[in-house]
Parts: sequence; C-alpha cells; structure tokens
Amino acid sequence: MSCKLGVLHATPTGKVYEEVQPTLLVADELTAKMNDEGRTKPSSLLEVPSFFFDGARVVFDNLGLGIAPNRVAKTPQSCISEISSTPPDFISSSSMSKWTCNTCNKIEFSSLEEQRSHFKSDLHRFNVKRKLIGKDPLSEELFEIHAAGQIQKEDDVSSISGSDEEDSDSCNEGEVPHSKAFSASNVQTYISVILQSSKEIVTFFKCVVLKDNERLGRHDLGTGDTVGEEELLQRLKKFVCKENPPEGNSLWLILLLRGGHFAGCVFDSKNGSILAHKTYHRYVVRARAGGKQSTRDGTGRAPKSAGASLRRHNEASLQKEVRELLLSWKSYFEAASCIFVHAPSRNSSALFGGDGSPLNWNDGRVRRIPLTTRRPTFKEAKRIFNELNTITYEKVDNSSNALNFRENPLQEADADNKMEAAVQKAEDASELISCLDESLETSNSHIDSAATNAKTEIISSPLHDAARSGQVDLVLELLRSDANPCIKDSRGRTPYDIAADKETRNVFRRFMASNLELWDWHAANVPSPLTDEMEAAKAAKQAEKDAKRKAKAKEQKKLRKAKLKSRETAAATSSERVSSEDIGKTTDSCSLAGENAKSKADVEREKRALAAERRMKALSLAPVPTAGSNLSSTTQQDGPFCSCCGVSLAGMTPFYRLKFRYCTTVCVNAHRLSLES
Amino acid sequence: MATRTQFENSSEIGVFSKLTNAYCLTAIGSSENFYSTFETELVEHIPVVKTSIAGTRVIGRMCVGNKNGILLPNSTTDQELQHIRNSIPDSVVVQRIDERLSALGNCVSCNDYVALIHTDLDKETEELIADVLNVEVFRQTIAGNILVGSYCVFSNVGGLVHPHTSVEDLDELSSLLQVPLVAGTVNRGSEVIGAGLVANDWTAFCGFDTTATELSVIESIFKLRGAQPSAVVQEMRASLIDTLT
Repeated sequence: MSCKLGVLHATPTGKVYEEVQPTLLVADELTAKMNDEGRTKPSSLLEVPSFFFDGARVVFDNLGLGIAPNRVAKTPQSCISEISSTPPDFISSSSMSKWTCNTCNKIEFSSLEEQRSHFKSDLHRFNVKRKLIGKDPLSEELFEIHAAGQIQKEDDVSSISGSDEEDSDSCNEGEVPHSKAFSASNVQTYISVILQSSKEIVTFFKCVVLKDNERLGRHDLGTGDTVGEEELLQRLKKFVCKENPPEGNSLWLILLLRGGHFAGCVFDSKNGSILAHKTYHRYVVRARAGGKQSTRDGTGRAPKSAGASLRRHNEASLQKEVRELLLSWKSYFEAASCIFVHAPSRNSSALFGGDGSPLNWNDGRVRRIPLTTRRPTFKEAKRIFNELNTITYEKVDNSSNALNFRENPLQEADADNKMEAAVQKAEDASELISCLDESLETSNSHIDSAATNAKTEIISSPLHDAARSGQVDLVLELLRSDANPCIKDSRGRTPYDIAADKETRNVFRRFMASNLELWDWHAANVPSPLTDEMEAAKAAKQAEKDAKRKAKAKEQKKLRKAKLKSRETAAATSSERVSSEDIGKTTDSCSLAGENAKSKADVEREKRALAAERRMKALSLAPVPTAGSNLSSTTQQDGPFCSCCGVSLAGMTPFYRLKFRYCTTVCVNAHRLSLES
Repeated sequence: MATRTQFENSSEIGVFSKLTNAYCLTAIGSSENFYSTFETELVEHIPVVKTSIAGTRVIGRMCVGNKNGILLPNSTTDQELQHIRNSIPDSVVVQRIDERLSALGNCVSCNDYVALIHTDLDKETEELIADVLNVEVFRQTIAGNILVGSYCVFSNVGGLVHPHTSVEDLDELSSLLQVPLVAGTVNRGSEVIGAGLVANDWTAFCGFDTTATELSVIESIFKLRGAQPSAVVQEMRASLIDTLT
C-alpha cells in the first residue's frame, strides 16, 4: 500500500489502465525536475522513461543480497508525516473549549454535534489508525490529497473507513509486507540501483527482471544462476523501453489460486492495460473448520457427508475450469515475459500438474509473487501488478558510505567477486587467501578513508566473512596481514562477535596475546588474551579434572558392584527363609538368619516347657482312660497353646476352629486332616 | 449496589456474563452459584438467561448488546440463536453478524445510546451496530488500546475506563459519550475493566477480587447507591411532570 501513499509524489495520472504517452522530456530536464521537487518522480516502473536506468549502478550490500535497508523508512509516506509534523496552528490552551479531538491535532468544536460528526468522519478514523501505529495525524488538507490519491489508484478507499477486512494482516501503511520480506534476509527480494544523474537509490522487486533461481552478483560468474551488473541493467533497459518493444514478449500474467478462489489476469507490462482476466470461486474449504476437502481426505479418513462430496466435486470442477482457462489463454502464455504465480501447497498441482498444462515450474518466466497476497480477486491481481511495478527512492548522502564504497568499483568489485566465488566454493583455501590479500588492500584503504567519516558503516569485511565461516587459518592469515578486527559490520558486530565457534574465537585471543598493542582489542570485543602458558595451564587443569572424574567414576562403579553383590546374597537368604517357613519346619534353626535365632530359641524353650508340663500332667492323670479325645481335651484345657503344634499363643491372635485354637492356618489344616483321619 | 461474584473461581466475570438494561446472559457453569447471584439481583426486573455462544462459555466477550438489541458472532449456532431469541424480551432485536473479529464483546462497548468500536471493524458491521443497537457509533481507542470493549465499561449513567487514560482523553470521551467517566481498575488492580465488571443502569457485578476502594469508585460513578429500576422511573416521572406543568 505504500504505492498508494506514494501517489502524492506521482504524476497525477494514475495510469493503470490507460496508455502512457511517451515522455518527451530530455533526460537532463527530467532529472532536474526530479531534483527540485519530488512530485514528478515516477512511482511505478510503468511510468519511468526509457532512459531512466541509463548509467545506473547496482547497490550491493551484505554479500550482494541486494536489500535496500531503508526502503521501508523512505517510502513517500514518511514524507507525508514530515510535512504534517510541521507545527499545526494550536489555539492557546486557555481558550480550550469542551469539545475537542485529541487524536486529530487537538481540533476544537463548537458543539457536541460537530464533535460527533468529526468522530464519524473518515479523517478521524484514519488518524486513529495512524495513531495506533505511532504516526502523526494528518491534517485535513493532507488527508484530502491522500484520499484523492487512493481513489486515483483505484485502490481501496474503503480501508480508510476500516471496512477492508483483507487488509488488516498487512498493516495499512504497507510496511509489514516489506519488512517481512526484509526479515528473510537471505532471500533476495529487492534490487537497488543508483541512478546516474540523481543521487538516489531506486529499489524495485527483483522478480521483475530476474528469474527465481537467479541471483544478483557483481559479475557474471558463468554458473548460470548469477546475473552480473551489466546484464541486469541491460534487462532493465529492455524492460522500461516503451516504444518498439524488442520482442513481442511484453505480457505479464498473474495467477492466484487459493482456498477455492482463482484469479487470473493478463497485463501488458508496457502500459499496465489489462488484456484479459477471469476469476472463479468454488466452495472447497469447509466453513468454520477450515482446510480443503482434499487435504482432509489426504489424512486417511475421508468423510462421506453430503458436504464433503460437494466440496470434492467443487474442487475437481474448479481445477477443470482453471485448466480450460489456461488452455484458452495459450496465446498469452506464449507472449508472456513473466508469469507470476501464487498457489500455495496443493493448489499448485491444479496449475502445474498433469499433462497438457501450459505452465511449467522449470520455465524461467514462472515466478513466485514475493509479497503477501490476499484473497485471489481481480482487485487483488491488480494490486499485485501495481506493487510489483512500484519503485521507491532513497536519498544518498555524498558523505555516506554507499558512494564511498563505490569509489573504485571495478577493482574492488573484481576482488570482492573473486572472494565471493571462493567463499561459496570453500574448497581451495590458499586461493581464497591469495585473493583475500588482494581485497584486503582495497578494503583496508577504503576502511581507512571511511574511518575518518563519523557515520561510517562498514557493511562487511573479509575478516567478518572468515570469522563467520569459522575458517581458522584464514582468520589468522588475515590478522597477520593487518586486517582490522575492530571493524563493525552493518549491525555493529565485530568479527570476534560473529565468530562461528570457540576455536575461531581463540584465534583472535591468541593473536591478541602476541600483538597486544597492535589494535584496540577492547573495541574489537575480544575479552582477554590467550597465551601458551594459559592454554597449557588450562589443559593441565582440565586433565586433572578429568583424572579426578575418572577416579570418582571408578570408585562409584566399585561401590555399585559391592552393593549389588550384597543385595544378591540378601535376596538368596530371604528366599531360603521363605521356603522354609512355607513348609512349616520351624524347627530347622540352622537355616534361620541371626535375628530369627532368638525367637527360635524362645520357641524351643517354650516347647520344652510344654513337653515337661505334659509329662507332669500325664503323670498326674495317668489312671484316667479317656479314649480318642485325649489330646483334644488336654489342648482345650491348656488355653494359650496351639492345638496342633503346641506353640504358646501368648501375644498373638489365635485362629479358631470348632473349639480348638491354632497359631497358623497351616496348623489349622494339619490338625483338621489329622482329626479326620 | 455492586455485587462481588466469581465464576468457578475466576474473577473475570465480564467474560462469562453480559448484562444490559433489558436482559442478562450468563454462562453455563458447573455450579449454580454464579447464575443465582445474578438471579437474586435481577429476576424481578429482567430475564436472566443461561446460554453458550458458539459452544463456548466466554459469552461476555463474544456478544454485544443493549436494551434495543443483541449482536452475536457468526459462529453462534442456530440452536443458541433460537434459545436466546426465545428467552429475551421480544422488543430486543437478535442479530447474528458476519464479522471477522468474532469477539464482539472485546471490540465494541456500548450503552443504549452510543457505542465505541474497534477501528478495524467492517463498515457493514458498523452499520449493523448502529441499526440493531440503535446507537451512534464512534471508532475510538482507549488509552491507546484498540480493544475498546475490554478496556471500558459504561452504562447510561456512568463509566469506568482503562487506568492509563489521560485526563484530556477522559474529558473528550465523556463529552463524546455524554456520561461521566472515571479511570480506574477492578479485581485488585486489573486494567481489563470489561472482564472484571458488568453494569447496567441500576446494578453492577464485579469480580471477587475487587477491593473495597474499587467497589466504592464503581458504585459512585455508576450511581448504584440506592439505585433501583423504580428510582429511574421516579426520576423520569419528576422530569415528566416538570415538563407537563
């Protein structure tokens, strides 16, 4: 949406659908006009004159990722806030009336009705939204210009009134999609070039001129996927050349397929006119539950409901319709220079899969849409087309690094490029070192010149690259050849900070130990020197520690073994005891363990006492001839003894059967058997 | 009087209930306590309805309403809609709306005459709110918070807003809404006013954690001391007779 806001600076023609009249301005005139006021700057690639990119140079930052760091910050809307931040006419606070609006520059009203109507106005709503994202409110005049711009672009005015629901995931100032693209910083999304005449960096989408698998390099390495500067500029010139297109291929196709919505649109990339468009919508995503029916079926359990079969049918027919449409657009496909596709996950099979599809991923013209897209609609396709064509500007300070960096572009680029190639391959370290030496000279001299500059910002140095990739030899070599470890990269990190592993960091520390005075090591974030003695001491300490640990482990093992052994013997004795008890041979005293011996002795003594008693009784009652029940009668009488084994029942709860008492159930059974027999 | 209550050990009663001048909705809990608190206070005057919305118990955050109508999110089931329709007075319009932001209770705050709404609500939703609830609708923020429903509660009598609201904003809001407002907290310092407090013109319920000080602020700003539905009528009668004579 930045393009929307950018309209403020654009030529007020808003020519998305109409032919652009060939510009008759001479280059100097145009640039002069550009310089004195921003209004005539074209905001879209469609509007740039064919000589626009003449003599431009590509801006490379970190390893040629081609990301313009300030694209977000310098979109034209920031200019709007600059304008609006000029002090508004405040009425003195003493005369503050009751009806105010604090959101919109503290406007005052004469009545409640006025205040309420203001709170319902688009201006207020827009300012509330701006306030939420931390921007200054717009004044009424600026807002009108802005709104007019939106209408011109045929973009969503409704977003002001907040009804553009698709809008909210991408912040309404168009910043989120951009910053998202930046966050995935290893993906090249934008290309920046410096225009020859004006000191400005122009940024646009990479996919406009490069294939998905191509990347921008300083020089064509001949590997096929790197595009050099000259080639890029040539392509750009070809692209913006309005009259007499070099080939017939000037069509852009935008195909969006997602969630049962399809939108296809054919644009003429020269003037933005629409040659054909078609949208389909089918009910394929289950309401409230989400997810396409085919996805659900793919999980293994295919539901058989009416709705499910409806969605299945719809999916198939949507695919068929899309396929038929693509076939009928065959002529457009042949004449297309770029085919932008957004069809996430399974949707892509509808466009690419099967035979007879005019689309092919391997086709270099097929490109992914590098921005967040909303629901596939005709309007969305138009928006994407406009977004892809958007260019943004960034002022270049003469003092700033970006130009300094290019002081000797050829030599440096050569060296850098060689290094890049070598780093990529990372095979031949010696080659790398040799070419690094070369680049060192250039970069060091550049750094020296830049170091004097207060706001210097080194994007990256060879030492950074070496430290990051953890190449110990290389780091040492670089340090020896006077590479500065205090340089900070674009994010303020020294090489030591981004070193890959401990070994690499130690290289810095060792070098620091030997060359303590050479650099300001504190500034290089290297914490302390690492001398040989220290290392030896550390190693000795470590060895000692290891030995200690080993001994401890050994001891522990021993202990564990002993414990295990004792446990085993204990288990053996206890099992024996259990078996002996089971049999009921309580008399076998030798098998019992120590603590049982005492109780065993007690039992023995009691038994002996019992026997003595019996004998005494027998003596005294000898003449009484009681048959059979001799034993029972005696046991019955001498209460606290087991009727079977004769153990004393003192201190335990006896088992009762009939009139007998027993010590254990074993005795109960044994006695019963004996009685029965 | 403002009553302290809790829903299954949660003090965020605004989440589980919706109180207006014409009806009261409460969530279906495992215990009757919550419901009966409301019933004791309200049953003579307005219906107290136990319901779920979209199968959830967070009904206070899902719906928005006043004496004129009630708006339910798109995810409300037909049975729930029918139940609510059958339970609340016939004069109240029940409407299900197709809005992407389904937690209407968090996005809209209203009394019987004005409503503050979330800045990102659809234009269609805004129109529906104006028509169904018969209110004037303003897109506004409360102390920089976009969720107006969560951070303020106001009745026709008074209102409580987020504690960080500046004095100017407070003046502006109260002039806009035409009710006296005060910045304050509920539930022992919670700034989520909408979750801790439900109020109508003559009664209010707040979370169990609400302190005595907070309670007294609430009672004074909502003018609940000695307030009865009949008191409202009496006031009106006085003014009516005044105008008649």
